[in-house]
Amino acid sequence: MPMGRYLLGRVAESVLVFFVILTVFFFLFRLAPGDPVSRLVDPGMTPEEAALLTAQLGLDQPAGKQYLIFIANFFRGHFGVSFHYGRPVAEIIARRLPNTILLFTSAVLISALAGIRLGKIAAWRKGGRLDTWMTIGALVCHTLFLPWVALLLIWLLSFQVGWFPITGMISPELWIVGDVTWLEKGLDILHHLALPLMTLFLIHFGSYLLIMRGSMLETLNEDYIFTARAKGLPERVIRERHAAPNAALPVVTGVALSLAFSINGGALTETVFSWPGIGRELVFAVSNNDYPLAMGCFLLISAVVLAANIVVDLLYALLDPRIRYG
Amino acid sequence: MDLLTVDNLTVQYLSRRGCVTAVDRVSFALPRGQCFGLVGESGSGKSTIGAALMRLLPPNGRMRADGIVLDGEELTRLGEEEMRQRRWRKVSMVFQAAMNALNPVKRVEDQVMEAVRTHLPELGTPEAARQVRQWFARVGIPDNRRRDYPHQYSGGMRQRAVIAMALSCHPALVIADEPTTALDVIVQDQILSLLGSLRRARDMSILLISHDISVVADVCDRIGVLYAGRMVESGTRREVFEAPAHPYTRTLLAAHITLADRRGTPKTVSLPGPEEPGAAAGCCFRQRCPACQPICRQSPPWHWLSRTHGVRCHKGDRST
Amino acid sequence: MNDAECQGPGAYQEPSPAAPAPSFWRATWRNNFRQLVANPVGRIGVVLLALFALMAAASFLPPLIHPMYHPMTGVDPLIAHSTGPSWRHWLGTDFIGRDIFSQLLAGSRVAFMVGVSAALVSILVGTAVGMVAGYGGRIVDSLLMRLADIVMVMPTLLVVLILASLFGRLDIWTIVLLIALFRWPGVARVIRSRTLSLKHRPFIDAARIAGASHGRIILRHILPNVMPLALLYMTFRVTSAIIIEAALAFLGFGDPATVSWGMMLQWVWKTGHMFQAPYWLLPPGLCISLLTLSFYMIGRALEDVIDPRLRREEPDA
Repeated sequence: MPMGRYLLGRVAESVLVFFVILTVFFFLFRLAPGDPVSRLVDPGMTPEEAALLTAQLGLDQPAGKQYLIFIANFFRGHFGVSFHYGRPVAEIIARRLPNTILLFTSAVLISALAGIRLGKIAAWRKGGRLDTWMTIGALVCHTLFLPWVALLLIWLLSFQVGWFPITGMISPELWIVGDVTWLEKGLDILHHLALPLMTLFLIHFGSYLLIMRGSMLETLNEDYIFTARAKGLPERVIRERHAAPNAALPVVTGVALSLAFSINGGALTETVFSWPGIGRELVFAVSNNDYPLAMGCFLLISAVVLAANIVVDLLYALLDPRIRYG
Repeated sequence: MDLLTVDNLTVQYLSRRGCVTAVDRVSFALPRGQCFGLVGESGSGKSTIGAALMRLLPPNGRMRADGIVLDGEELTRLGEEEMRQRRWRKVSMVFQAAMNALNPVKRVEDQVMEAVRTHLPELGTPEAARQVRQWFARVGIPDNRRRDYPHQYSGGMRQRAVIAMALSCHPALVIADEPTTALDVIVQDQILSLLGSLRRARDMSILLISHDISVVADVCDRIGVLYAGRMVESGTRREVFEAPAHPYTRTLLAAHITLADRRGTPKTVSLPGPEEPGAAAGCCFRQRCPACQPICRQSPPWHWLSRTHGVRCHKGDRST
Repeated sequence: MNDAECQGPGAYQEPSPAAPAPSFWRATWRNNFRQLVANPVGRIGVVLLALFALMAAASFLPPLIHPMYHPMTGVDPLIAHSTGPSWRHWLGTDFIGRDIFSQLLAGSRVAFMVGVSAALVSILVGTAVGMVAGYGGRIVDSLLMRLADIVMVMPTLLVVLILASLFGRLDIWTIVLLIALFRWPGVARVIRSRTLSLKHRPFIDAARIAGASHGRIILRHILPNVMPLALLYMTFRVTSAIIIEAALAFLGFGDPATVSWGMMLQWVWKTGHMFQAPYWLLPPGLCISLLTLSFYMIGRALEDVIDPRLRREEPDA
């Protein structure tokens, strides 16, 4: 089955890439000025605790063995212990990850869907007033500086109008009271989600719109669109069933290629809105010299980007029969 | 009565550098049940005529005609929606480069089905599906390949699928635009005979557009020769092949060397590039014509040599 | 542009004595510029860019007028907190009484510096890698491209953050270098595919048969043909470098010795003035957005000038 082999190849490639990243990080931590032990073991620990952790991380071993232990620890989920929280990094990450996934995937999905829809319309009316305004609007949104947009939205919609909470993911006073239903809690999270989502949406949909527009224009020049016209199909059918599905394929690739870029934006958004996700945790850890936490967060983000790339490839293959039936 | 009559069709393309006339006052008639071959080199405007008949010119194309009558109906006067309903139902197309003529992400059967469901909605789905299956059988695509995607087909199969699609709504006229160009010789032959037998079985008319005079010679009852957007000669196959009246037609025939022609080395013809269509007044073939005379600076009129045979040349009948 | 390819029959017509090479290039440039400006998107981009260039050039003036207008060290002796716009301070002052307008001008200079130099380095690296990979083929190609893949999946901002934490505070040139070193893979990919398509053209074969070395073929025959594409990508890399530097400064990891727009936003945010001082919050973000917009617009317009068919689906900035 060509599809299975293709997928297997992609997974193998990603695993390899990840190993390279792991290795580079291992050496970076040892090459950086200063003592690696003091970087990875909290100076505030009791000597016994410190000795135990040093042994677990293999810091008393020769470099080659340290590397092996480092890799093994990674796959066992031992990322070390956070200086700031005094808890295993893995535990902190596990708590933060769902929040990031909630914000990030909803943002990417909504903006991709909106971008595809609007890009389709813009391309269909190429050269018209609507197209011009949509293109310019997309260009402007795409180049807005994300933290600034976030601050503006907070200033406008939270501070001035008061529609949304300023930061955070939940209203603690609501959650501490015992008798709140799940529905209310969910709505509370959505209420907090609105502004960060809006920020990410504004930044992303423009680029998806532009990709879709360009791709749609190219598709409309294809021979099979002429065939569809010659077949006497109504214009709506040509646009929706012949042009749009083909044109949307590059948007899927676009999502994958821009993933690393979007992660940057995700981290900034989380930081400004104090959204308790991995990105904010990473920025926070870096600011506080909490090396184990910073490294854990970064490696996890890299792994997620790689995994997401595979998922996108898979999606592409599912949508495009030319790959599915190689 | 003729199925299709085209009267003084002119097509121009507007580009940034001005206006290019691709088709210049072309007229011809296609009797019902016959096959008309349009021959010309690339850029002679033959494909543009096909697109103009479907009224599917690119956005920068403008067409003008004194009349395009198909099956008693004046096409130029139809509204856009009426024209859409005529497409494929009355006049369909077999495309050149069959690879891209089919949508790569839809199953071939669905693409044929789509045409039938659009134009013959009264059939209902089961009956439409049955007819589509029949069409696949008629063009010789095995039953288990119907649900494939276009890229899984060979070139010949794709061309067959395109033919099935073109005939699926029983059109009166099929425009076949270079239907065999991308195929190897044996498959070319199969496709041409398939088209021919289907035409006879279903009493259709075909407008065959080709650069290859041998293809046209095999299938067509009538032939029109295009040069630089103008019809320079037209007539029945016999008339054009046995008594070519226009110097360009003679050049074309000479350039086409058959294996049967054993007498000595073939005559080589030097063909410099054609000029821009409609670039200057006078005979469009003037600069390449072996028998060019001062009078050729004026536009040559159309001479009828017989009831069906005509030529656009100053020498007219005398040249034969 | 691609003069090496275009020696069709047209080139052999009577040589016109009035067209020596330099004026040809000048004419090409002028012609392309005119085409660029003919596009409304390109026109807006060029005007915006000129505006910011003017700002950057003017950034040297305020400290000369009065030391209190120095963007970093100049403090108005009469003001020790943030105040709104006035005649003395056109855009107001920040939390310790520094002039926001002077900071804004200085930020423009920094943004240009960061954007252009980072883009230049990443284009140099990317073009070199792309040409070598495309021309070298096989092992060289797959090695370099796997490397590009690895760098490509890393979120640049976060990598630089981590490095900043490991190696202590980074000065502005280190930041520029780091941004450049993580932004070349996209360029390399595009240049590589262009090189691949050039590699088998007859004029390359001709040069090889004539005995040209690989280095000479790359430099004399391939480089001129990928140049326009590299230039085009440079505009996009400028935007991404400016954004990353600004984000880094915004998060508090910028060079503390320079005033950048991101730094100004960080101050307004961290000192809790964002609700009280819109006059301070609005200008720096607006400047970042507009400057990146201008480069991006020029890039898109250039794309149409150079080759409309080159659209690559890479939404980066």
